[in-house]
Amino acid sequence: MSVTYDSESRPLVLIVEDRAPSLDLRLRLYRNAGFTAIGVTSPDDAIREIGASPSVDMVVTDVNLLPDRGDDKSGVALAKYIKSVRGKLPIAGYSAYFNTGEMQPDEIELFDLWMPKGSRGTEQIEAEVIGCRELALEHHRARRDDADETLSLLRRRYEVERPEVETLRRLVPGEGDAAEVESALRDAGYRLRLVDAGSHGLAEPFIVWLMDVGEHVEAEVYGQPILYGFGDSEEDAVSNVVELMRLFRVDLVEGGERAEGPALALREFLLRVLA
Amino acid sequence: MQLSTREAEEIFSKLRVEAKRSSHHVAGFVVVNGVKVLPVHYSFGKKALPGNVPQRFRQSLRLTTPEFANLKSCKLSRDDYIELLRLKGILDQTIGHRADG
Repeated sequence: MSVTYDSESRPLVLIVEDRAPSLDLRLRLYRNAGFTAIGVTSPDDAIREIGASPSVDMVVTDVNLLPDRGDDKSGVALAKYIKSVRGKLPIAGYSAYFNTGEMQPDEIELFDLWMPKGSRGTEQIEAEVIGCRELALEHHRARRDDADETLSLLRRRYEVERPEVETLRRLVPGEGDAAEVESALRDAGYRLRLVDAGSHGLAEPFIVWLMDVGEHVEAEVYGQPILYGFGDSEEDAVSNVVELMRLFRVDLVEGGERAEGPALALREFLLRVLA
Repeated sequence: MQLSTREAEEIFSKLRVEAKRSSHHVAGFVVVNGVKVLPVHYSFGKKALPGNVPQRFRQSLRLTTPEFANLKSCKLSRDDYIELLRLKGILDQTIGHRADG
């Protein structure tokens, strides 16, 4: 069974029903009520979908999922499992057990909404769907708020809103003597480029000056004139510079000898930038 | 200014640069009395180092154009070079006056 992820306004419901006609009816009714609905016919399939779909906002399950067993309550076991791995995920259950008094209090507590089964028409089921939608939307909003809060924490921790822009601002002084040098470099045809940390397996991004010279491109790390290289393209030039950085790192960091002056400054830079 | 890979290699040898190699580079340090002081490197791939790269190589050695020409032409020894670095304030006096590493 494939999984459909919901949009901002359509919560995702997982329906667990062993009988195909009942499953088809519920899928249609839930979709008409504004859900994105997926269906499975066994507890094992439901567990698989829960594990694969972090964006499920609600589970609706029959309690008696193994009809060959007269007293089956596998839907209760499924609800217990879901609560153990996704405690906040709302679960609605339906079963004749709910109106015959055969559900224990601790079993009923596993469900956020429960509905007796039996001879219930489409209207009654549609009313249940509306009740489920409120629970699902509440979970959907809470999940989105959690994600926004986590993202805000990450932004505060790394002090960036847009990493590529903020890093560029922080690394390019643009004042005093540096501004004059940068202006002269730009007049000579150099351009700045941010080298993304992820694309080269680095610990931090850094900035390079690039310049087209004849048929090749020259690159120099901003603030580290010893780290220069060239290539047939920008990518080649940058890759060659990163290779040079790693080669120096082997000698400076892992070599163990003492370093002074420009060598010491280079080591400090490499320790910061290279993973 | 022209500089070939072979010339760069000869300069490394004369200055006793302790270097390591990768796919595209030979990189190492000018070492004085066991202390790494000046990172230097050159790249493989072309017989003549292209564009501004020879200038960058010269600058990485902290030499002016005439000084670099003397180094290439063997008119500048390693001892002379180390003394130049000291006079230019690139070498800390505490590293020592013996220039043979």
